[in-house]
Amino acid sequence: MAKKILIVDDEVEIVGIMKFRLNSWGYEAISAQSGAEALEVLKTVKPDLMILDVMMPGMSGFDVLKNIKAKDDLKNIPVIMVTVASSRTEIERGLKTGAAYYFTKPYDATELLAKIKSILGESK
Amino acid sequence: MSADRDKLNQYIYFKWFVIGVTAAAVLIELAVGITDPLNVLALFSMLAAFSLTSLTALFLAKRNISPRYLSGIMLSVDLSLTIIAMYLSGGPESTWNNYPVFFIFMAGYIFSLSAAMLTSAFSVGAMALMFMLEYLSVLPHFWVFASRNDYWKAPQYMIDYLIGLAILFFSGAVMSGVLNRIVQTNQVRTENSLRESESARLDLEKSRQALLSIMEDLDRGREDLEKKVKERTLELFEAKSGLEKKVMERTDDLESSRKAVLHMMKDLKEDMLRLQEVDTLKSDFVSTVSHELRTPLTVIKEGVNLVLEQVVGPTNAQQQECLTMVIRNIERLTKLISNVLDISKIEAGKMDLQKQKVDVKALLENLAASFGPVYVKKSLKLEVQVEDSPLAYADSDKIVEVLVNLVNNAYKFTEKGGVVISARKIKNFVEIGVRDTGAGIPPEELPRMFQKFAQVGDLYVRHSGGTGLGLYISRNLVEAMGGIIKVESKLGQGTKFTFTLPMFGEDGKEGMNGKEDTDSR
Repeated sequence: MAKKILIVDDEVEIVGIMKFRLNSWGYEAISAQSGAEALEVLKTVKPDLMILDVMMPGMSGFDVLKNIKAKDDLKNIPVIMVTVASSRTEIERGLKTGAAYYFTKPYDATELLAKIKSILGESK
Repeated sequence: MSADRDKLNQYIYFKWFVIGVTAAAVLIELAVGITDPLNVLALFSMLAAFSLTSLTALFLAKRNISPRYLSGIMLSVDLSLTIIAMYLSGGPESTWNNYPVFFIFMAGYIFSLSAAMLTSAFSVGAMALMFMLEYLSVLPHFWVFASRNDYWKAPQYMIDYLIGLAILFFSGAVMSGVLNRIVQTNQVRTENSLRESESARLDLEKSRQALLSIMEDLDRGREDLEKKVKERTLELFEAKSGLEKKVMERTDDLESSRKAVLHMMKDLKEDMLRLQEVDTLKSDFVSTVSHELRTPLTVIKEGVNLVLEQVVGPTNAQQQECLTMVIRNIERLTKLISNVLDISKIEAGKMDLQKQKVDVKALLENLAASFGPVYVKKSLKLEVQVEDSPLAYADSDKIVEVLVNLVNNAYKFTEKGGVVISARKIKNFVEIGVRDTGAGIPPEELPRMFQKFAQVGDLYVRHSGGTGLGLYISRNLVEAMGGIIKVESKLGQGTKFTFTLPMFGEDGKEGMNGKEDTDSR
């Protein structure tokens, strides 16, 4: 069974391009375009990994992260935060809130793959 | 004077006493029958004679004749009368023979011991003469009174008698002298005590006067004091009024100052709010721009990569070459955007540095390790030389950013040889250097190296990846961390960039500011 990865980002094209990527790596990519939508999806589907954009209108990535970490059935899902600004405070905040890793856009595909693999416990 | 007067009076009183007693005694004798009327008559004649002298003396005393003088006269007269009476009453057999002792005593009392002695001597002498004359029958012997013994004929009797009389008289004289002395002493004592009491009275009077004057002085002093107190009270009151007025003035001043300060504070608060708004706007701007630029770039990069990696279908060699160029420029654009965003952050003051203890040696070794492969590919050496294991107090990510920029530049401009990354301690800061064996930089270009879009002829910008902003950003980062960056170069030999960072001190913070130290060099 292919591992499920949930992409949460308000930019449609980012989502689209990432889906191409992830599928090419053999993962099943599902998406949500807002924090609220993501939480809805999470009610029915439990992904093995989440890629979460920070800068989103409405509920920000941090809010979603906090929300997830508060729920028993969701808090163990590893989360990779993605954002444009590489502000240290943001990174620290993210990691403190419980993110497993942190990326800036544009991301390096090779690095991303390596990180996903290590988080999911797969060999390189 | 009055003493003499007193004595005269006493003498006269005494005589009255004696006269009275004798008269009484004689009358009693007559009554009893011891004596005869002839004796009585003779006796009373004597008494009358004595009374006469007293009265005369009294009469003359009223006429202001000296009492002392009168006493003397009376004494003499009385004594003479007594002696005559003695003679007439039988001489040695007379009973009057003792009587001179009274006058002797009086003489001593009124006058002096010498007078008494004199009187005694006179009396004894007179009587002795009388007896002798009688014995020799020169004077006839009279006996008026009863006793008719013949003692006047017996010399031994008369001598004994005379001796006895002498003893009596002189004793009387002595006693009168003693009495006189006593009286005198008393008088003197009385006079002395009178004098003393008088002088005491004078002293008392003086003391009283002195006391009065002291009291006057005290009163005056008191008045002065009261006056002074009044003056002082008035002064104090005026001072108090003055002070009160001053206090009110100051309070008013303070109040207006306070109001001014409050006003200022309100202005300041408004300014602060405005600044905060601007600040927020800046942050928002930077992140918004960042987001807006990077999002499309991500899509572009990933899209092209997907095609290039043949994930979405096969591609031929030409397509691959074309797309590779695209990828390269996407990366260049990405870097430029990063740099521009960094600069805008720096200039907006939004570059946040996390200063901490940095192990410089470890940092340099890690960096060298990541650059290693690329250097090997170009057959260039990459060395790390670190002395003393220095510790810096700075932001390690920013140090890496600076070094990446410098090591990348060194890589680009070096065709043979290699690059040495060094670090050492100098005074209170850490000096990091990147030296290459490249072509070098012309001296005229050196001053502009750290400016925006600095170009070294065509070389600098043309080499791929250069944005012209790397050194400008590096300089800002180094200076923000408290250091200084500089460059030395020799054409044909190579270039060395060095920058300093504050050293990590024992108190957990930076030792001395690296900037200050290099200034002094």
